[in-house]
Amino acid sequence: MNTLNKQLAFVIDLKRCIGCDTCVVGCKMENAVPLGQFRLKVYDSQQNFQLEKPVGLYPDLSMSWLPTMCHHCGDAPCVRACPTGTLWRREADGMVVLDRDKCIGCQRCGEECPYDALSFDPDIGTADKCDLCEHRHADGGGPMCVTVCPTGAIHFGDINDPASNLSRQLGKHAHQVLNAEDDVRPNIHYFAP
Amino acid sequence: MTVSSANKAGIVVVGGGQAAAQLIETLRYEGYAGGITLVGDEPGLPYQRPPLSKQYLAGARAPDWLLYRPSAFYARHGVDTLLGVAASAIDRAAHRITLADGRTIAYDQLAIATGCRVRKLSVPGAEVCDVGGVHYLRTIADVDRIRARLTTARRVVIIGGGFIGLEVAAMLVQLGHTVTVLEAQDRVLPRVVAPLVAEFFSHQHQRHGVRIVTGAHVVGLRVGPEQTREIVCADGERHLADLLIVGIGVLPNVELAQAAGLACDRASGGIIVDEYARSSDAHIVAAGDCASQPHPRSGGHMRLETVHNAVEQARTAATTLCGKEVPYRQAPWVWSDQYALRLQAVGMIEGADTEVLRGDPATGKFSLFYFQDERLLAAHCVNRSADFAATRRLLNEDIALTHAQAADATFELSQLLPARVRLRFDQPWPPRSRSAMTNNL
Repeated sequence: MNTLNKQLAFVIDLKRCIGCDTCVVGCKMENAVPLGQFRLKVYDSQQNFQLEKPVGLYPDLSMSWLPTMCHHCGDAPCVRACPTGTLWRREADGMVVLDRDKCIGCQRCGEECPYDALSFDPDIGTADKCDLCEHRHADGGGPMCVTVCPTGAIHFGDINDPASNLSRQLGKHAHQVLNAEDDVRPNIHYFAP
Repeated sequence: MTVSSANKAGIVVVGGGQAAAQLIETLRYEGYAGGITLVGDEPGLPYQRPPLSKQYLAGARAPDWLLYRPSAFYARHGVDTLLGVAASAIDRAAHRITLADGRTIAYDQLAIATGCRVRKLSVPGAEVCDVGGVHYLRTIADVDRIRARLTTARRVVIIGGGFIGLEVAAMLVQLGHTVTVLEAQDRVLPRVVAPLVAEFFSHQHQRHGVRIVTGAHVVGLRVGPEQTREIVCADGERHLADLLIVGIGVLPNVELAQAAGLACDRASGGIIVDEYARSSDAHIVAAGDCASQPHPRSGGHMRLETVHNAVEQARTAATTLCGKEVPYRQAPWVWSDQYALRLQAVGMIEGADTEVLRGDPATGKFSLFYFQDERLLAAHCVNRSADFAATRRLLNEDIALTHAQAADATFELSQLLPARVRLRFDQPWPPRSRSAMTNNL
């Protein structure tokens, strides 16, 4: 596959995440995500995103949170699965883009995504996903989840730009991606909780 | 006769539709590094046909929007494209195909994805009326011709009440045309859905102003005044059309394969392939509308004219060409958009003896499940996409659904599905707990 000049990505510092779900609320409000649907979810230590609870026995309890959304994979399974070209990878910035006008609501993308990052809008019958709040980019804004996070846990930028804040952060801390064995080149990197 | 110098054997894909495009994409994804040549009889790159009867017919989209993949994709993946020229013969012994313009192309392996062509109306007068007067809908050029006529046509008659006919009817009546649909059977969508679903769609069309005439056996066409066409039915009824569109099915393009001696299925009409999309020649695969695959229940063969089949069978064919064996066994599915209604059908209804309704058709949202005894065979979902997606997994993963569960619209079918996604990091993070933090102090 070709090398992209620009690759938009997230870095999420799980140590800073306090599970407040402000990112979820900000995302839903900014993008008018329908009731019961999510472009972004925050899972707890047991992978629940609702009714979160800690693991362990009192007093040795542990709890961390895991915000996750579309990983804008370099080798996106949703793009491969989509029968209508609704989803594709934009070379200019590496974003996985969804064209709702082409979507036929087959939900094959949701079946293939290793991160369960596709939601489905039952009102209009199409898939829905994180678009990095692209409409805010023109005014210099970033994704709403980044803006509203009260602890500054979510960072956003060009991972291929060595001067970006994202690259500097990655250079300083150990990081992992989720479900690395799926080998889909995801673009959300996590710091330790 | 000349031999194409650009061609370096490798894999030749004959056909310019969705299966051909998917085949090429999967070949490269699977790591095939040899030469790929695409031979298509249409002038442009492979494009999606479903929007032709919807967004493209309405004039809302340009042809480029229909492309399955942009031209840069083919250039980037080193695909030679020979467009606007049909393949006319396959020499299996010499591993060579001949094009209509006389050129020959060598192949190591050949993929046939020649698709279908429209079934032409064959009644007295059809030949006379055909020149510019009888329209079919299969290609971009077909729709461009229809759209050119729409500027002056008021009365539109559509022969055929299948998916194409009804989608076109829905679009044109919304654009303000007077639309009549003539269906030979006693209901619309006769081959594909149960009477309840057919009745629902028939009612919706009539509510929007489409006149649907069932049992209408067209026996003749005549040229009327001012470029009109007169359609004559067996019962003597006559319909005058400013624009006549015929959607009475398609025929597989298998003549090339037949002439080359590849085994074809008499009943379904397609090129016989196995579950790996291999034809009767070990060096040739076939995929899409033109291929007849093993029927999962009857022991015979079946041909599917769906996007899903084109995509998934092409994937299978490409992996086979790459030396891997991934069988193609999936519940077929198809969709149709009409007005604000989306019909999504999954599975095959033949053999069904019980129908279970979920939801109320009067609300515009319902699903009809088809069972053979207790075994789920298929579902037709109208504006209930969650039912459709869950049922596809139920069928593909062979998960049982009871009649009671199917009938209960409040029961989430997804509850029956095993959790599929598990989020995990390869390396465990250091524990974060009171004692761990205390120890670290």
